[in-house]
Amino acid sequence: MPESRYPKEVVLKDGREVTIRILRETDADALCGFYRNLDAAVLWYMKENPCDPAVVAKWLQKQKEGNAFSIVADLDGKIGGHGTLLFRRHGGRNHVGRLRIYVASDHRRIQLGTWMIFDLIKYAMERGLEMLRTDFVVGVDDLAIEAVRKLDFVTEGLLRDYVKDENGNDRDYQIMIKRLHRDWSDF
Amino acid sequence: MAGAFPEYACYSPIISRRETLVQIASQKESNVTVAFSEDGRVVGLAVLDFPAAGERWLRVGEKVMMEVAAVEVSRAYRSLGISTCLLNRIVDHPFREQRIFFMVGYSWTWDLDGTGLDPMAYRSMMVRLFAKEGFQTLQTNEPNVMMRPENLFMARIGSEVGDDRKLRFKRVRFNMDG
Repeated sequence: MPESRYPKEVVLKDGREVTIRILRETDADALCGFYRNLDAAVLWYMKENPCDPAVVAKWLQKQKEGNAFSIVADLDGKIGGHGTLLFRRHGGRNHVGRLRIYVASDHRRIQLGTWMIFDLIKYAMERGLEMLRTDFVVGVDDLAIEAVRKLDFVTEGLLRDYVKDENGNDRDYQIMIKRLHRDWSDF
Repeated sequence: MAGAFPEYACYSPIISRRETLVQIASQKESNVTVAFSEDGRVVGLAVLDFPAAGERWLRVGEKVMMEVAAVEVSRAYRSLGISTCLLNRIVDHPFREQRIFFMVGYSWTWDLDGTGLDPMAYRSMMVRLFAKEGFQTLQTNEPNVMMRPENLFMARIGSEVGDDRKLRFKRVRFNMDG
């Protein structure tokens, strides 16, 4: 099982060492704390408020039920990043995974997010998924957009003025897709 | 070896010349293991050798790293357990506990056409094969490994390898040893 390959050690661009491991139930408080420390602007665009322990408890339950797979970046016992792959187990979208990655502001630009995305791509491929989708707010998630573009995600949709910022200004919403090859024809 | 490892449309064996094998086998401490059919034809081979000049793995230390550079079995002789035997013999090295053996798996060298497996299934097969000999999947930013998600880096760290070497190995994997 792919899960047996965790934890994974990674050395970041600045020389710091990080362990990428599966999210555990005992991480609930630390994960809430991680989100509380994120910029308010980042939290604003999330569909749920992860600073609320009930939201994190729901996520953990989803993982337990096999509808999600979450990893965290553990830096000396502190969560520095959280990545999730969401699945649909039946229906017309069960070949698509939804990818979400959040990295603490002091751990950006050192490839932590890239390692986590790369890890979840591998996991998705091992699960037999054919496509990954990840959504971004243009002008807010530009660093992340650039990072996933380097990993062959392409823009498949742009919803103009779809979301509003804290001040009521319209922002574009970008849908990015990565197709996961299964045979030679995609190489 | 003629005809044992022919080239196919989507697959070329890593080693197909007898001279290459003889040259590697003649080097001190390298291992070459060959499987023969009953009529004396080569049907499988495995190679354990030091990394090539210029490779980052040399920075871990002198004669610390050795690469399982090839494990090949002729198409007609697959699924018979030959690769398991070859790998078992190739890592049966007098210095196995003082060394770090590693392998890199690049999907563009895999015989997906001949096995009928998709890249991730092939990858899983490789992981299972090497795990039997104590290899574990490790992360590295080596560009060729990073090029495709299914590419693979595995290593077996000998029980007598010191902590300082292990740490250096970790940092070399990420080019952070400078």
